[in-house]
Amino acid sequence: MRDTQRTRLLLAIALLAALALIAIDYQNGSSSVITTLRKAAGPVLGGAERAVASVTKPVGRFFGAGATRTASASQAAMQQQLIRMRAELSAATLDQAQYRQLRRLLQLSGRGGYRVMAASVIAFGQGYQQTVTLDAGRADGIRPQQTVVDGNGLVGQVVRVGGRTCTVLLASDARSVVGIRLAPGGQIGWVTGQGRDSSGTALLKLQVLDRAALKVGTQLVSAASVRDKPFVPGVPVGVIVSVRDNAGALTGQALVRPFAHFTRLDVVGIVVSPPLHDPRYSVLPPPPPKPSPSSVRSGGSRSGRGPAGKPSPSASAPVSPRPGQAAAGLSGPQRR
Amino acid sequence: MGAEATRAGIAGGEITGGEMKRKLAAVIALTAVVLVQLTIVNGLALPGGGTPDLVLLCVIALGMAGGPAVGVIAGFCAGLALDLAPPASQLVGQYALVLCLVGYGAGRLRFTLRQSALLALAAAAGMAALGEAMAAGLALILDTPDVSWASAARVLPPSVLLDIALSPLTLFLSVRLAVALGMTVSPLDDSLVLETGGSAAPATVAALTGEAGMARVNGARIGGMPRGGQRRAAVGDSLAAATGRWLVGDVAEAVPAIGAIGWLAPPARSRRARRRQARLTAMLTGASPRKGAFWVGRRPPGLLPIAPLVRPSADGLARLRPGGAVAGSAVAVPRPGQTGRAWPGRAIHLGLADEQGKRARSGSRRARVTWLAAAASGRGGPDRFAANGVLGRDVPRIAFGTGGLPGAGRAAGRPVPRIAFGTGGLPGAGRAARPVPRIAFGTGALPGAGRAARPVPRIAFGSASPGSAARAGLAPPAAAPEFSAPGPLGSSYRGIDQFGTGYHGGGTARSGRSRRQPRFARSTSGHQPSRSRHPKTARMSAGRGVFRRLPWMRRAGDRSAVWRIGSRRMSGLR
Repeated sequence: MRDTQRTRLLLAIALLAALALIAIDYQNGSSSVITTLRKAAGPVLGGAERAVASVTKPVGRFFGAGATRTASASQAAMQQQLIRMRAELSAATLDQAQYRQLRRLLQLSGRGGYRVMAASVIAFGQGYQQTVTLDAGRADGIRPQQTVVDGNGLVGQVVRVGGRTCTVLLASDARSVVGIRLAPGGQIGWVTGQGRDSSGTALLKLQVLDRAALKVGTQLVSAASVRDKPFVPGVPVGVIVSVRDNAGALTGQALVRPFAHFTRLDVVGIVVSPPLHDPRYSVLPPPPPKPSPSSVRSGGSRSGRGPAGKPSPSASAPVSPRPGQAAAGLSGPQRR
Repeated sequence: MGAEATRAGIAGGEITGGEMKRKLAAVIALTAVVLVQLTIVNGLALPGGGTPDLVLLCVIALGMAGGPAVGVIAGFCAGLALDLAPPASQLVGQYALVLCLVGYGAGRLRFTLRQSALLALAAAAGMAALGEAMAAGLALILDTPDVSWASAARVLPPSVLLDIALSPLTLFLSVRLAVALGMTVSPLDDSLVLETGGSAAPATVAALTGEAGMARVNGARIGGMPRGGQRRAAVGDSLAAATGRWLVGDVAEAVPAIGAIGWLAPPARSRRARRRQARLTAMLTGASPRKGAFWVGRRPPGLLPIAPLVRPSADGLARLRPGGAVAGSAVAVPRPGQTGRAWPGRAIHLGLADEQGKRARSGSRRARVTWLAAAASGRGGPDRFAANGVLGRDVPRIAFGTGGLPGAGRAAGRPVPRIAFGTGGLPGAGRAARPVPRIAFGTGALPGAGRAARPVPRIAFGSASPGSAARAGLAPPAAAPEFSAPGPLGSSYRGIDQFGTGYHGGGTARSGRSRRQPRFARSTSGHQPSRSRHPKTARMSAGRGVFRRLPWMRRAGDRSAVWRIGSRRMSGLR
């Protein structure tokens, strides 16, 4: 088919439709047209993604795990055997890796007293958006604006929930703003993402009102949000790697390396009910990665400035669905 | 796609199977690519931080394989799927906008496929870079906070590089898939020859003589009616790919005339060369888009007409052809290493087409109908087609299609130049009592016809002057077609193309030769109304379609200022 008038008409129609959709979405993101489209397409494409991910995940993990490659390409039989053995080994290490992630997740949630729902990442956002899709949805009790953590720290927040899937806005997205508190002193600040990074380790941008508190190696935890939405308190966020020295700015700025690896997300947990008590800094990893004041150790260091500004969220404990279980301290996270 | 489907297609006169399969394959490929992109590719932590956009590449490849309309539809659907699939958080329609534009652009760039592989790859890479840049630019324009100049500057270069690195793979896969599924060719479309980037020269002599590597291509798919018999040489495809024509797997060295188009052809540097290539491709596929084009040479065996079989009426045969095993046929140049082998005769298809531009659509279709009808009636049905040109039993033919196709809307009484070649025991050649000037040519009982134990192809117009064969530079002079056309007819042949067997040019029978000159915007003859807005002005072309009305779409060929000043209208104001 060559370029005819009909083709151009087709192009014009497609362009108009796309522009109309953009305009509608730009004007009002929750308009009925957009929500209808998303609701119609979400289950279909989400289900397809689940299916594809269930098949392709092991393959991807295999290629990710089997990095070593022998150069001896002499005997085909030996290579076949090697491949087979490596596949078995990869399966074993795969389970181990998953198990390790899950265990770390359980440890983190146990220390913090969160009740988490384990889920795994099935799809990643296209282009510049730092979003992922998890294989847990409304049927699993997921609601929008819930905190998502992994074994290392804060991942993001749930922004959209489908039937069996949910979409998570990562903390590295430029739209994401996370209220934080510096580890020893409790200064309040916020962390924004910087989008995709060329290095793969997406650094976050930290802004703190009290700029004197910024030191390299200081760790951050999430501060409590109102009614613990979208972020529950006490989740480790990252560690300061460099302090930006701009004198004229109102806020002190620093770059934060997040604890979670946003490019290697696999097993994550969605905090379905917040802790009864603010875990403060108890969830932070014990050894700080950079040499820093040794008082970072954990929870007890409440000397000096107290909870600056924010009231402790334990005072305004949210209505958890089953407080009895959550209050049971180190209750294991609920698995499906 | 077997022979049964083919026969069904012939009998039904429809092209449904290939079309459906192509659409289905496109849908499946797009769905799979979208899912793979979202589940795997976007999660890869590649060096540089970029991720290849497989969806973009797939849309580009589909557009280049299928044309602008396919590109627009595929791009819009894939973009909408990307906008709506769960992890998406951008504005709905962002990717749809970008991808449908990219698909359209890739479809417009499809002509690169028939010129050279490098050009096609460069076009695909350029469209990929353009698509990435458009996606980032649209996000920046829309002021979505997830894209900043800094992140775009960081991520765009590695992504573009990855896309460019992957674009040959996707282009290759899509073109091969499209070829394997059989792309339809309508004379109004770009021909299949152009679409697949391949020549229409399929399974030629080499394939049937056992040298699969030389042969056989996608030609079996031409006409939307793949023939099962021709598809069996899958080995030929792999060998063909191994010989370097990897993008389309097209090998057509054995057919020099075919080599004038497709991948083999050198890029047409001049307008004349472009026109000639277009004429060649059009005639190879049965179309006749331009007035006066005709083609002398063998019909490619893979070229099957789409139109259903129609028995010709008694006087309904438009193209006259000598029926016997004689009159003219061109002989292919033997490939190196083929000396001594008896070469089967191949038919000449000599068409003179003269059709009004407005009726090009119906006229060309009609031409194919009559062509097939004549072939069917003269040679015992379509089953013989497979043997054409390869088995040696077939008849050298000359088909002179003049413009005066029956029923083409021409006034009945208008004298149409017509040439009857040979004797033809052509059924229904319309010999009787038609008030048409006619030239009878000597048939194959030419004096050297028996030289090679089979009729030497020869075209003798009136008298034979053997020296004219040297023009073609054919290797075996004994078997060279001789063109000798003194008199008015001879002066009309403009030349032989450099490939030997193809002979093309304008004929005397073409009535509209003067129309090949730059057209005039309005008729300048006496019946021009005095109040015409447009004085005599040379225009090469006018805008087409809906864009014709837009004033800024006027091209440089419009009226010049000089004419405007001197025009009648301005003088009236003075």
